[in-house]
Amino acid sequence: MFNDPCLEPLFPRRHVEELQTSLGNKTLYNSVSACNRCGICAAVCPTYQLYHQENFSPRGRNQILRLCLEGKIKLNKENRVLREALISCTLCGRCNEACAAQVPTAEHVLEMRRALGLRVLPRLLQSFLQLRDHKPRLFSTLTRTALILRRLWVVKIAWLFQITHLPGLTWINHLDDVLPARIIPLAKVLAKANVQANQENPELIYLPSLEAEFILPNIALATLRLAQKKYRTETWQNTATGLFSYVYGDLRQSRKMLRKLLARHAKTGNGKRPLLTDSVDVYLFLKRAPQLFSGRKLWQERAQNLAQNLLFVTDIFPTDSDDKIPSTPGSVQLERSALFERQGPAFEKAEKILTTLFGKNFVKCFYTDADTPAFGYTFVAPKNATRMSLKTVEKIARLQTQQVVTLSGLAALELAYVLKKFYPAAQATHFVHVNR
Amino acid sequence: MHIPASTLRALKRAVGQQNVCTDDVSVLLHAYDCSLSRMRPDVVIHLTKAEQVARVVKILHRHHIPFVARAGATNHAGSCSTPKGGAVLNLAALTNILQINTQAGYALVEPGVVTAQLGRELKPLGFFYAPDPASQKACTLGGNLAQNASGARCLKYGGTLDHVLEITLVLPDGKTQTLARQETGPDWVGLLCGSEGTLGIVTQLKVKILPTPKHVRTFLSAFPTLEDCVQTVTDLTARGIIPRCMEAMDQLTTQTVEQMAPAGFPTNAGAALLLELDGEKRSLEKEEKIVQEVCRQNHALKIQAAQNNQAALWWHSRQNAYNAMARLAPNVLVCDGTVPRSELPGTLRKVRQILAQHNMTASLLFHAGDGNFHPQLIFDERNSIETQRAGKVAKLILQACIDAGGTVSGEHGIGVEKRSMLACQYNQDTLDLFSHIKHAFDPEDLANPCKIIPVDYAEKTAGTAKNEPGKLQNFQQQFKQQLASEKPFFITGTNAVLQTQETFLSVKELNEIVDIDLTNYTVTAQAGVTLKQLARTLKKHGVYSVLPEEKGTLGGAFSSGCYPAFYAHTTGLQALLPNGSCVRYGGKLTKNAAGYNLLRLFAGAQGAWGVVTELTFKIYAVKPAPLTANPFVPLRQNELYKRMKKELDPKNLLKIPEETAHVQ
Repeated sequence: MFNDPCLEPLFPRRHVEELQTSLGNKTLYNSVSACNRCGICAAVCPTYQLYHQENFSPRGRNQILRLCLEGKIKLNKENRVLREALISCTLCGRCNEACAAQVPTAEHVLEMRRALGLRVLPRLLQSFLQLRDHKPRLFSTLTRTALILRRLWVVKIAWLFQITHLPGLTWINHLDDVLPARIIPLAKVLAKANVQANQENPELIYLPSLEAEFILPNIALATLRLAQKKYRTETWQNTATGLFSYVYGDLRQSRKMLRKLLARHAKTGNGKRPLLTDSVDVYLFLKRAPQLFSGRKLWQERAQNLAQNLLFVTDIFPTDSDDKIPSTPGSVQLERSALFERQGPAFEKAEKILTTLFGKNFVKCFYTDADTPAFGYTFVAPKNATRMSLKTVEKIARLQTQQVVTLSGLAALELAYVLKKFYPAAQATHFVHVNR
Repeated sequence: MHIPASTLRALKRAVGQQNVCTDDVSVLLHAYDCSLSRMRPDVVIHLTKAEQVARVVKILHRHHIPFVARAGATNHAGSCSTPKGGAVLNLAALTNILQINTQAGYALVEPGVVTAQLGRELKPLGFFYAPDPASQKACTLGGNLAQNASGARCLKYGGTLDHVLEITLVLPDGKTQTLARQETGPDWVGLLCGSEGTLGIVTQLKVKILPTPKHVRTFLSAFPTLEDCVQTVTDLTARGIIPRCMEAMDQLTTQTVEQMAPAGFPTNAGAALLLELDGEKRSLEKEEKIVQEVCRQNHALKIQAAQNNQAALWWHSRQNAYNAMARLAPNVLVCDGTVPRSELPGTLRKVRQILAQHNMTASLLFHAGDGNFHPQLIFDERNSIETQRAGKVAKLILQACIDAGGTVSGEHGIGVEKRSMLACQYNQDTLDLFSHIKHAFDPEDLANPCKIIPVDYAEKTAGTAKNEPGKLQNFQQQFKQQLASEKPFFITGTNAVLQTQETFLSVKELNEIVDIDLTNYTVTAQAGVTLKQLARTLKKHGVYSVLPEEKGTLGGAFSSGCYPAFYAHTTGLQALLPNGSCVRYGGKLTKNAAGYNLLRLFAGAQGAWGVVTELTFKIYAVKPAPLTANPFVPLRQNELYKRMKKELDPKNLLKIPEETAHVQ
């Protein structure tokens, strides 16, 4: 009916051609035109709550995209206001939940970032993390080396000599603050616990997230223990899903990584073997993977197949009444920090399990409540992230929560750091540690 | 329009460099609200403190730059658009709840506080803020005041107008005024409600808060037709039942809502009525029986009382009705025409005809108790033919409302989108008075210009007021003669309160009770009708008003300021102005957000700018507690009074008692 304009007509493969929304697949223009500017989204947007300005609201971001598509605004990397509006978005998806027409603002923001070629992470960090996609072995070696250097006080020394105060390097201080003091390699942790990463005749594939593999091996250990109660498991270590490139890099690279994963999955157990992840971000990304392959039947079918066989840790969590933890003195809450979505089966299941486990001590929170910005936002917009995290701490303190359960290792890391600083009475743990 | 660099520098000094934006993106992002209008401002000013408002407005006034205040920008009428360009003042960051006083029953808030946020703060204290616009999760209290917003609970508790006690107003020239409801004189707060920021910017509000009712009962009834549903509403009112909400939905609405948020709405029935009662347990039981009886009489297919948390589910779904329609098409045009309750079935039939003729899809959803219905037209604004058709259909629907004695806006306001329709609703004299009000407050037309008042309305209006026959015609002639003599005179009723020996014109010969409407529960009476005569006549018809059976006239009770609580019961008025024109406003309507609230301008004005000749007000089947009269106090001649007097009665022919005068 309409000639749908697109952001880069000459480079359509740089963008998602059809967005997968809860109201069906839509082109970018149709998707953004569904916003009728009612403003309900602003009330739940963490950046609008900080600035109270239209540039920082989901409605504003959607209008930017629409005006760009209609040729009324020129997408220009040098435009400070435009850049701020796009960089500041946490991609949390609260707006999507609140919206009557389920407009996927986070996806729209990513599309604009891609069109602008915006690299929102500090350059060095971006290049380093991109290595995981391009050269996974080198990435693995470099990560281990960096962690050894950190143990040798190299970061502290660099801080003393003000090297990490230099522009473009300040993120190293924050990373050093957030990371646990001592990080043991996953292989050692598994060996010590006598847990096999790969069992014979596997029935399930475990895809550890980056943080579970390199920073928080206990998450991988706990996940494997849980999984192996029910399934013989194999672990696909150092396997990128394309999520990082999807959010921070080039969509073509993301597709490439995803194709590798899909091909490997298709070859394993006739493509029917369930795939388990410990990160809600990875889970939500893989669920929407089919939208990356519109018009490519084979890959789309494979992506759909993977999405159907995808499991999150909540799916393998034992829910027998025997597991009920005796009532703890403090309350427990679920942190919904995630990319793209705040509601859905993963969250509902987690909430159900926690209710079973903790009974009245489980305090129900909503998607509108403050939580830690997800998936590296603290490196994208540190000032916003700090203010948002403080709001989270305020909420946790008000509810007098003792344990905050997160659905991704990154959120647990960030939250643990903020809590330690401002409200040490509470602790942040990943969902897989709840049963311990 | 071009904004000089010196002005921008002055603005930046007032609010900070980063808060004054002239770049393309910022400007375009403040060019819209929830309506279809998009108009580009020249500068966007983000205000972070309430004190900055007066400073900024002074600068803008000095440089003759038009300005529009905005916060949530959720309105459906284009009230935040900037047809003349100029500045947008973003008040969204003024979000402080300064005080909650449960003992005195008020909350002191800044205009950027989101309505639902105040509700959340009040809930643990056992209180609530009654106005509940459907967009309450995003709209702000300042915006609610500007549009005189209301929602489902309006029938029992009234709209924003009835819940604002005091405001701090920055006039278009930057002067600050604090206006309170307790003061004597015209109800300035009432006049400002619904003025859409055209008379100034409110920087602080004191709003009424109420204790949460302990007992609430919710019912869901299904009817074979929408007409049966509406008849039920009329019958309930006739039986003296005033539920706190009465929300009706047609079949399309129930079906669409059920798909989005299943709540057990009867999708096979022609219409559904969601009804909520609150009050004491014993009276609730009694009312519940009557509700069931009336529903059955009107062929109800099903009557269901809410169990456990079912009520929350129903309300959640009802509030999602707009959302559900938004899923069917990219745009939803919400009309908010309001008609006298008795006219609802007829108007709905007409609306359906209009929709069928133009092949438009719309859900019919309405606050049934107050005759405010919301046809939600769905379309795609990218399709210009469809958009034009939606606009045309909306106009036809609003015209149908006017034809039925209704108004083009019950709660959304006029903005730019409906201002042309105002020429169909009001006569030229009334629109002239609107222009005078705007001119008195804002002679340079800087505050939210080009809103409410239609452009070139003289050619389009429904004509000037007819030369009324009989007593009114005689009185009008007397009034004109008195004005022609150019000798100042008082307006009195029986002269019982004033007891003046000076020249006066009495309205006592205007003593007819024009109409007692037992369907809409309103009475229309001339100003000279004595309160005793009124009470006796109403009693004969088995109905009652809130006015006591005491000395004095109806006009006196309204204009003297002795019965401020009576203003909320008035719904329509006719008045003569010093320029000889005759204005008409309102009617048998429970709510009206079209144009400036003339009822509140004349209420308590002691005849300072005109003589009220006729009033329409609510009556009740069950005798309400009669109001007690406050002692007469001459009105406070504040800045606003002086401006209005200069505008409407420049020769000062209509006398009022001096501020220092002691009146019995």
